[in-house]
Amino acid sequence: MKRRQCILICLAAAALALSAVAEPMTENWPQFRGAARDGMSHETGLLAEWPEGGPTELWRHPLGEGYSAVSVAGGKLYSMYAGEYQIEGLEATIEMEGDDEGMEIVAEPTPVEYAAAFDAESGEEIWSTVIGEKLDTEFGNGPRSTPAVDDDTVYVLGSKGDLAALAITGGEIRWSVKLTETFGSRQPGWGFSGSVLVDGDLLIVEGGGPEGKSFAGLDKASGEVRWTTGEAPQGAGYNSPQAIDMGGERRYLYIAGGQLRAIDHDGNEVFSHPFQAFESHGMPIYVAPDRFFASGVGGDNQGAVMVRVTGSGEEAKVEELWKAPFMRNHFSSSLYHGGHIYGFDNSTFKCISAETGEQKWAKRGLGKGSLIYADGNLVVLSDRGKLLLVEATSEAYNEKGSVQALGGKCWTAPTLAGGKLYLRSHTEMVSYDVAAGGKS
Amino acid sequence: MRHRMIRRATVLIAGLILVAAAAPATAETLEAVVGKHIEARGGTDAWKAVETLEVTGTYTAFSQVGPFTMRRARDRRVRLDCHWNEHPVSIGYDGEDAWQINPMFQIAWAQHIRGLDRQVLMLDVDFATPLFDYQDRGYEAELLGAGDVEGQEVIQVKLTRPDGFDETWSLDPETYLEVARDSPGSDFGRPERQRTYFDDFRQVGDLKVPFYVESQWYTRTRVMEADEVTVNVEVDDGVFSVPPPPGMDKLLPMVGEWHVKLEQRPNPGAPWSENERTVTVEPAMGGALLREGLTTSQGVRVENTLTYDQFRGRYVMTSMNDFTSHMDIQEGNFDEETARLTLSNATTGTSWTGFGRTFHERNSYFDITADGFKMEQETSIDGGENWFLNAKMTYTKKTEESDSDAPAGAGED
Repeated sequence: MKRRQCILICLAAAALALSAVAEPMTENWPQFRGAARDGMSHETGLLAEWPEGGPTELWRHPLGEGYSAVSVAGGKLYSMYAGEYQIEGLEATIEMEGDDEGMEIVAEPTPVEYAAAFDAESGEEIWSTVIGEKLDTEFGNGPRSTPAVDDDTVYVLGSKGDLAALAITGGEIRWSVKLTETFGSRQPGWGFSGSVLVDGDLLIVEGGGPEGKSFAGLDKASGEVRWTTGEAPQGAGYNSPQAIDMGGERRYLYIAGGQLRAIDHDGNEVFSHPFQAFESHGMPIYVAPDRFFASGVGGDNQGAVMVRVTGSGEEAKVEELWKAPFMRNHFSSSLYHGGHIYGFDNSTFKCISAETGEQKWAKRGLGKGSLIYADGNLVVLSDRGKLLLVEATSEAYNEKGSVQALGGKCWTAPTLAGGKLYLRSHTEMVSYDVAAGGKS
Repeated sequence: MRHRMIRRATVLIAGLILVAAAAPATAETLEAVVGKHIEARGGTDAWKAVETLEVTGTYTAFSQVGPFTMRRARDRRVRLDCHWNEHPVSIGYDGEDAWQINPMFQIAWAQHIRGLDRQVLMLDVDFATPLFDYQDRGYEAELLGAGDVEGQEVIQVKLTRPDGFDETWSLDPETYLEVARDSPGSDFGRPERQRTYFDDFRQVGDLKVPFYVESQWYTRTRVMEADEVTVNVEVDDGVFSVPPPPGMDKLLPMVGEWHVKLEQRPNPGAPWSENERTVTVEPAMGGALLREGLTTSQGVRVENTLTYDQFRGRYVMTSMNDFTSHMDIQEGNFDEETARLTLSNATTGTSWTGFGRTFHERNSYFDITADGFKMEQETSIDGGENWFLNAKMTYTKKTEESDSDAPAGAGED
């Protein structure tokens, strides 16, 4: 009897364990590059390979110009785009005498940048809020920064330096700060592009200002500046900060002013290391417990470096473990998985050893693409809109499915939440179901 | 002692085995490697039969895809028409002058390519690769041996031009087709190393041609993916030459040596007097400027220039003489209906003042053909309200006959 009970208990436990394993894990993607801003999704139960023709397309909508990625929280999507703003109710026919009698006054639409919320199921827009002036450039107009969703607030940054906190329900502006005025910075050539980081009670943003105002920590509730830190003689770059737990302490990691740098909650430097690539858009990678990877393109020092950091503050020691002229991230960031770094070396997709920097494989033809990790695979979007599923292995480049998802220029990394992929090109947004077993 | 000798011998043998294992890629001579490369690409005879080559397909720059056409002809002439960021771009080399029309420089007309940019352009003017005839061109070649391109084993050959510019060709050790080329590169004139990858080789008649060519340097990437390669298509030689500057194409027939019949009068009531002379109109600045020099019968030297101001969209003429040392500047437009270029100094502030009057000048060029053209000169003493014709010049192509009775550059003004 006891034995039967034991068997039953064991079977029940096994069934529970099996059901726990089989239950797909889903999560939000509340900010740039996911919850930890490292390009890693922890979702499981995704398609291990894609059928011919790719995964099922759920919806597709035109979207105003921009490179802002999609954040996901609570069944809603948040992103930014450029458009025109027509002041409602200003059109009027004014009775005048003489030649101007009956003249109609029509306000010219103003080019602006919007932050917007969309329904994740349908892609339909729920609300939109004007954030600031539209950025016009030779290489693509519109906002670059990705919204960060935190509790009931969405934090956004326009290309002209308009930082705002919006109510998640309707997009009402709770507070706003103009970076150029607050920090005395100037707009970078391609616009303010870093995605704001929200961590605890802080909002961290690249202010781009002179005299110790390269980065800033703001009170996320009020927008009040708590501290500024760092020098960046060239002004704001295009890097986004990441929050990490290093040795039990919360640190904020970024590249600016020719330095790979980590700071603490009060903006004090934990360590810094010279890193002088011409453009360092790619976020650094923290390889616990003490290694840091930095990458950039252009200039004499382009390429990648892996350093080991011991101590902090004035006691900090930074040792270069290896340095390579390749793995030059341009628009997108690399990611770390299983002892290897996957990313775009200018426009060649590569896997390198995190230990030695040794190249494991290379794949050309995907341009300046972008990538995330999910469920044992890499989801890769080429700069011409080809979406690929690639096995996350250092053994060889192994493609497990693809689809031409978008046309035009695609410089925005994929987003994954709830078994669905959300992609955007410069002017279009699309969603795919990548959950195993269909409709997630 | 014996053990040590055995150990040494073992190490030596192991070393020899290692050397032997590494040897296949490097054991070949430079001539053998180059010969196999040429054979792999179709052989010398097959390429010698190529007069022109046209490649069409898609060109990707700044992550944007557009169509391209590349035409090649003998004497390393080449022309590429593609799009960069939706701007139409043309790049050409006619065997002498390299040029580009690249609106990304905010200039929509042909510019000469010189210096490092020209050296880099010369990387892509061959039908196939410079390994075919590097000796004839005075290049030094060096077999570097085994190498590595993105994890792929290659055999590398370095070519150095007489001017020191070097390019290293990495060849597949099995097919001897090119895998990559490393060379100096240029990003808007700033030196940057460049690597070009060659892939997707396909048979085109007797030739083997890469259908995928990707260049990377600095932050840049350019990808040419061929859809079609056609051999010996008819190509107009003119497509390789520097296109005339906009506006000047209408005036370029005026270039040459001319027999000029000059008719002039000092005032509207005076009879016309006639004179003849020979003048030369020369192009300068790649045809952006026409220059006419002449000496009057009184020995006054006159230098005229004529150009088109592409920013303001109008023609500009300057006329300088060494009698008054006064430079007159005239501006005007070309009337398409009458095919007449009319310029004046009425608004340029360079009119001549004397005898208590201000004299404005107006010049017109018309009937412009390859065989001749006409020019009329008018004067106004009422600020441009009324003009009277005071000189007419008829230019006809200079022949030996016309030359015999007119002194070069001399005449009565």
